[in-house]
Amino acid sequence: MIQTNARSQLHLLLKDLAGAFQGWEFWVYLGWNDIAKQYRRSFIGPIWITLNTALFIVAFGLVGAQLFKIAVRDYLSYFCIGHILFGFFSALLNEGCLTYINATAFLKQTAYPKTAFVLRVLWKNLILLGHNFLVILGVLVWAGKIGNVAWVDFAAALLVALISGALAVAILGALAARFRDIPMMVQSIMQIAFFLTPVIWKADQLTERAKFLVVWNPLAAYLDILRRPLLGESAPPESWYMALGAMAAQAGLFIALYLAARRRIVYWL
Amino acid sequence: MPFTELNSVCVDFPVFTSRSRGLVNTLFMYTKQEQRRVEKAGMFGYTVHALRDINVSLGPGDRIGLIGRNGAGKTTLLRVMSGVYEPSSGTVRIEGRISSLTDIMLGMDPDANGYENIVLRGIVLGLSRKEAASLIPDVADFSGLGQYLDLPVSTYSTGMMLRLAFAVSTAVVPEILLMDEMIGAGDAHFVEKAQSRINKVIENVSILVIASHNEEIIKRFCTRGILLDEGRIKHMGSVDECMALHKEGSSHP
Repeated sequence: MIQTNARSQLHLLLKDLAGAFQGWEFWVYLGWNDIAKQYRRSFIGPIWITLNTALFIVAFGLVGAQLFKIAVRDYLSYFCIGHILFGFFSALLNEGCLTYINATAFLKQTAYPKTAFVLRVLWKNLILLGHNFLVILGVLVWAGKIGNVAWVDFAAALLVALISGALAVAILGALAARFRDIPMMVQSIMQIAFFLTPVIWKADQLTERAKFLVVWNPLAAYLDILRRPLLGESAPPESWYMALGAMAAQAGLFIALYLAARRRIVYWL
Repeated sequence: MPFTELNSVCVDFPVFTSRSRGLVNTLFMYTKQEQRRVEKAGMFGYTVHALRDINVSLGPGDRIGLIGRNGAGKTTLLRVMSGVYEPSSGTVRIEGRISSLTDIMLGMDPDANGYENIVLRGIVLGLSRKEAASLIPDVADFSGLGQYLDLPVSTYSTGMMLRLAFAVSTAVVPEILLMDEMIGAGDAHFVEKAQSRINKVIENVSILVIASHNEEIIKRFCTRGILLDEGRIKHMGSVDECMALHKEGSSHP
């Protein structure tokens, strides 16, 4: 039953979310088809990208280890995990901006739950991360660190990152539908963020004065809670506080934005 | 029991210019000078009143033809009835499985083969994967595509693609069917087959709303008409009355 304006915006938002989860087959299949497209075009599909990533990681890993005078084993595993995870964040946020813009034809024909398209973007990027994760596993086996991985910590961190990611996609998707310069802004910001976040370099290489780059950077926090368990370390509580705090802030923003503007999204397309 | 109920529905559209489309521009709007400049050009804060004070109540057995000139609000009204546009004011209540057949190719992927596209299109129509897969025999038989279903849809001719899209889109009977112009499919000897298939769907839906410029189609399928003019309901009544008023209106613009 569709009831617009007859119920409160909160009720309609909850119904949207419930509809998206109940209709999981819709976004799971569409998200999967996005990946299948790449497989149809070439036999190994997105593994091309994985190979490409692997090649870059090995090449830069060897140079970086020299530059920073860190053992190749340690630097390569550090850089590999950071690069792939940051790539995931970056792709998610960039594509997140296009969530609704790319779904225009769908949203103008049928009253789909809006958030189903958020989950489609998240799911597609999660599948791609799964492909790239093979590289991480390969490097960890090669470096002899695979036995040390704290899988439970990693799973908890991944859950937090995915929830935050979904919220970010929902927020950016709605804002970018209204303000069409946001995708360009996000793209530039993510390019700069790559260098301001400890992906290539390590946080402890910073001087005291530059520490704020890590302390006040939510991306650094998500990266930290995900990367450390894979390297067999445990993440400091500050990183967890920052990641959880950022997630809570995004949840607040998501609710405020969607209560005010969820019903306007289609008008902006 | 399916129903569609619109109560004093108004729909206002923001009109965006390339300036108001950007966040940077919008923020700079707050500088007084810029605001004055844009106001002078009449570019900002434009809204179009696409629908005004629409009251419609439809129930089982209703066959409605939407009539009106281009820009009268037919498509907008269909979108309100499908739940796509949540109105600026007024309330909408709809019960029943809705199918909007405006773009029958929506969701199809040219790289995927015919079978995959049947499932894709079925899922986009709101079916589960299993339900969508169960359409395959019927669609394969009706479309007559046979072995072509193993090939990517991008290798099909336009007619074949249309036949496939039409076959899937008409394979399920919704409770509420909304159409913007009549849908059809392909080559001459397929037309009759398509006609009888869509007729069967139309006969079996509970509520039908079709917007069309084609008088013959409205007269054939609809029992009531809604004449829209500049976003308002000018007349609601028999198809003949609406048609007569519509023609009168068009001859004295």
